Amino acid sequence: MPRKLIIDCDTGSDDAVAIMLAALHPALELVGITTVNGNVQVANCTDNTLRVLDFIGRCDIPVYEGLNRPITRQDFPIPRAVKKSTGIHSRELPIPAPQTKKRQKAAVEYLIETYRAATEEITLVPVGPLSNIAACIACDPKFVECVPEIVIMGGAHHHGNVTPSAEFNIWADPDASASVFAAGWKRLVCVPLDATHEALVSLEDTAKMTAMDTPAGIAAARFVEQRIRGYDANQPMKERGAAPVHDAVCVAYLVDPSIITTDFCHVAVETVGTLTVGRTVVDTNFRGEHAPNCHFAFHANRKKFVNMLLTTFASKTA
Amino acid sequence: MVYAARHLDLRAITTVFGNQTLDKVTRNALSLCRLARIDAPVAAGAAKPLLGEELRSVTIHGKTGIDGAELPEPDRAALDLHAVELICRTARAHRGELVLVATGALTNVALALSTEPRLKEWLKAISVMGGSTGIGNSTEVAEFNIHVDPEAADIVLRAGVPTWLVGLDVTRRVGVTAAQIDDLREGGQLARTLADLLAFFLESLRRVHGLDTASLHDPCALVPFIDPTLISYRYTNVRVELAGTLTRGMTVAELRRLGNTQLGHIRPSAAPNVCLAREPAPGLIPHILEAIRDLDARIG
Repeated sequence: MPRKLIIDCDTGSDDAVAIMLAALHPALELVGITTVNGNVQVANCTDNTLRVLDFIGRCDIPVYEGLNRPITRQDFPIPRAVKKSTGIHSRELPIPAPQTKKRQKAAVEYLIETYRAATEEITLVPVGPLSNIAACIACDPKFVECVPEIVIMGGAHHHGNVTPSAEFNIWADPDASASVFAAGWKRLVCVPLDATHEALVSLEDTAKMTAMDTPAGIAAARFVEQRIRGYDANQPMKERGAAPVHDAVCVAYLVDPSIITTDFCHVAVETVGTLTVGRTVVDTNFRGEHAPNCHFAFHANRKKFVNMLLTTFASKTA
Repeated sequence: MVYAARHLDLRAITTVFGNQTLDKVTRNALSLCRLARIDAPVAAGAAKPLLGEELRSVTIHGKTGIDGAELPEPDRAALDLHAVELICRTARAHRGELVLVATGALTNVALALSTEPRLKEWLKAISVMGGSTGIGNSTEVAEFNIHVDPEAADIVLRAGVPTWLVGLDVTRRVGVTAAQIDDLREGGQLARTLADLLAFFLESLRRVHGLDTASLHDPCALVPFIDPTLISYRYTNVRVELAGTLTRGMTVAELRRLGNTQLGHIRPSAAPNVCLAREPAPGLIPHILEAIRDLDARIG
């Protein structure tokens, strides 16, 4: 029986690849998608999510729109420069506008109702800012108990991306992130930059995707090539012509846990620091007073990850 | 002190609270001077951080601050002069030549820079054992020397003096094994005493951190001026977090590879201010042990 999951995302080019992997991999059943303000504004995230599902013929998967700003702050710690292109994410993904519409229910309402009614395990995979998830925790004290496993893309230990010490998803809504990491989940897995920066997808890989001539292959190649151009320009990786596809690593982990290597330690989020707001504070040296709460991924297996993308996107049947 | 005495012209020693109270660490410095026949003047400095109360690391260095060996009684007293004064006088007398090496809290250095504005022109460089990228020892992410007085560290890193920073993430990667400590014990009184100190330190590190080598954190701050090839560096921006509830006292280093930061959410950091130690070379520990043996043989 396929493993059920819900993705909470801010689509976003890497979110798009994560959605396609979850929607098309035979071992997974993508129950629903919720969107959140992040890489782009939430209305664009929703529109992009619908584009992806339409393009790969999975418009049966429902999409619910979530929070349009952080849970307590008016905006990110440093407000978004709306007119700037990020290079890595475009406001509109380069595939046709969707025919399908989002559902009317709000994301937080959908998540709470779905988990309350669930008779089978549904893994929660937030790969954007954690505003929706923090709102669920705040609205329903039993929400945490209903989630068998939460797999978050976010955070960084060695170095951040948005600031020297913080990663974008955690930084974008640090108060939400702090509450989510402290919530006491049955099982919390975090896939930070330390891991995703090891799972690079190259231009050679995207050429193979294009050559597949499947909707997912064509779309993934476009999205990842856009990422590679963006990364080469503003955050070059150790290898030119390759980029991380962060969010998809979380989905790949659900299929094959050996794709990441984790340490079980305590992780909390700094909300106050002037230089470190939004940093995942990882107690690697066991200096704090708290018991481990998080399986934090320090490494990822690039070959296995890329192979999974290539195999899944090559399949002609959705 | 021993590593400096062997390779450099050690002009003065100043003490600061930290591993133990100021009285105890000053006494330890004077005892070690007698043992290693170091005649540089010793002056005591700050007994407390610039703000707040002092933290101590009794679990690692013991009740005396240097547990594990019998040190001789000091044969002289500290100068009747504050450390800040001794730093400023020495720097003035050796303008452009003096390297100020800090291996404890940065309180004296910050006070000296604040009280004598010309000090930053007089000093050739400042080198600090402190900070970390990632791992902490005082807290989850803060290293002890910076965490005990973060405001002082902030003043020093912003001072505009050429600054080297050798952090815990580097010094923890290399250390002395029990076998190397036993080897050292074969030498004279100085080598034997240092072997005993290292043995106690290794035992503490084993108990508290589960390590099987004794890191030689503090001598690493001298390495840039003794043999620059023993550690690699990256010239980058480093600042101290003062406000964080979980991150206060953490050194925040720019380690990203950035291209065009006009794009997207990426926030560039300020201009480079520190030569940050990144990778220790394999010869580092043998080089420090060799210096102990040399000085030990020389003083007989």
